[in-house]
Amino acid sequence: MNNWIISVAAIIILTVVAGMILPEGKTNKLIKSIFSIICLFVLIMPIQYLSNRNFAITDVLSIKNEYTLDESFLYYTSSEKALSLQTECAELFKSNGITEVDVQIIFNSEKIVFTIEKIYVNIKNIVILENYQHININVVISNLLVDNFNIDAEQVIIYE
Amino acid sequence: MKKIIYILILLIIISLSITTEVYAKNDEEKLDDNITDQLDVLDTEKLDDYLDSLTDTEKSMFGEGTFKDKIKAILSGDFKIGYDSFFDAIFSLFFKNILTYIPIFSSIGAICILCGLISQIKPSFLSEGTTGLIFFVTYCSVLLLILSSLFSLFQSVYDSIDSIKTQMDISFPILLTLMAASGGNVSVSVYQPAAAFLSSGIVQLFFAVVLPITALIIIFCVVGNMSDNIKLTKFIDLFKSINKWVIGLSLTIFTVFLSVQGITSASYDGISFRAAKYAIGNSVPIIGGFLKDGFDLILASSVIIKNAVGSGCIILLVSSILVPLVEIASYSLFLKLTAAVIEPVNDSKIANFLSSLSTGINYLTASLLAIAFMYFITIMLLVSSSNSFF
Repeated sequence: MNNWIISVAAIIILTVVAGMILPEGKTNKLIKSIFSIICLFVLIMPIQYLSNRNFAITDVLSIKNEYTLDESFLYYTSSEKALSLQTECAELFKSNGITEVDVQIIFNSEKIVFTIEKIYVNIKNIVILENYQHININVVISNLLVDNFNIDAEQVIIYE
Repeated sequence: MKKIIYILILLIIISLSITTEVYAKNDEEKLDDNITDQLDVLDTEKLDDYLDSLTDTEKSMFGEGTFKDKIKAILSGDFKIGYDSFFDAIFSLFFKNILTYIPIFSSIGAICILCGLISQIKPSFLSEGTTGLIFFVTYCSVLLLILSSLFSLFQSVYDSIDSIKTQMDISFPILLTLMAASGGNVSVSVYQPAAAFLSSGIVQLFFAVVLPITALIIIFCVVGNMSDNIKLTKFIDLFKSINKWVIGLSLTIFTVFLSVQGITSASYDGISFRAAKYAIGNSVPIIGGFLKDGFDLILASSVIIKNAVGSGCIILLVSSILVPLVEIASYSLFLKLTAAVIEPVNDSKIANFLSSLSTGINYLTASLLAIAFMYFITIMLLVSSSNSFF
């Protein structure tokens, strides 16, 4: 493209200079018309160049598809969210008459959006209401978590 | 009896208002703490480096301090745009530019008046060839004076677009991270490729097509007005229309697609988020409710920081494009003024050249504004879309 621009500029400047140097008369007119034809050829040169080539946009542009996100910040916010959900879990159990359980939420750190991977519930020191005595407490805890946190039963791990 | 009931009702109202205030205060404090904690973890080092690389004029428009200081000022409501000082800065910049062009303007005027005088007296003692030569020399001298300032103008526009690209590459990852932290799962997957395409594809398209064609238009203006025999007006029109199409298409397609996709993804995210929230909120009365629990507070802090970062980026954008825009505006005005002044005294070719040059230069403004507008729209969509979660 640079060459083409330089050629166009050069041929026009040459025409102007030739017009000034040459004496008035038939020769001047002839040379001016010759220069005009040359100028025409120079101007239409890129059309021939474009038709000979398979033009692809990727030749000009290199497009990238994504950015790298700040993983340490995402990890920090996810761990904060996990901590707050742990407190909410404790509140949930308390409102259902279950206390002294240790809840630990493991989140998926590979995904950019916070997703719960596993919920570990330690029921070693569990204190429950009397009416839970003849019910399987593991099922109660698991159901509570599944209902409220939109997770599958396999994701809840209860241990002592 | 009635009095006792009134007093009881009053007491209940007072106690209720006190408790809500206490809760509200607690929530506000918690939110503040969350925001401070998240801001400390957020990495804005690259933005600070970028701020350091700005010129003094741009820095004075953006304000002193680091980017985090600016975010804190926006968050606390301390940040105010002084419209008086802002317009004052624009006007002073404009007149400063005009002042720098006055020597060039007066030189062009002097040369053209001299040339005009010689042309007026030519029938008495000058031949046709000599007049042509005089015009050529005048034209070349005017060209030399114009081109010397035109190069720096081109350079400043190139630098400015490059600077906007750097801004995009720094600010988009931060905004997308904050969007991901505030739960915009689908929104991030929609905006990430769009933002990357804007900073790499569209900016490169402007660098590879629009700006070179603008340079071509200017060169054709220069050589086309040199001779009466060879006119390049139609070629200039062709390139102008190519430029118009490229700028218009890229602007329209990008903005329309991004807006539609962004709004759809935002509503999807909002609905799925609300559904998840109500699942927790309805069954457990203690946890549910607006901004009552820690989880919501963390998300809200991310959203608030995201909005503040977006506002900061817009201020940064304005301060970085203002200088070249004012430069181009004053240069274009200067060209039109010169053309108007020399038209009565000289050959119309030089006046035509100057006025067609000023229309060619408008494409520099158009490309700068188009890039800035696309960046602005993307930031606005990133800022506004995840607010629908709450």
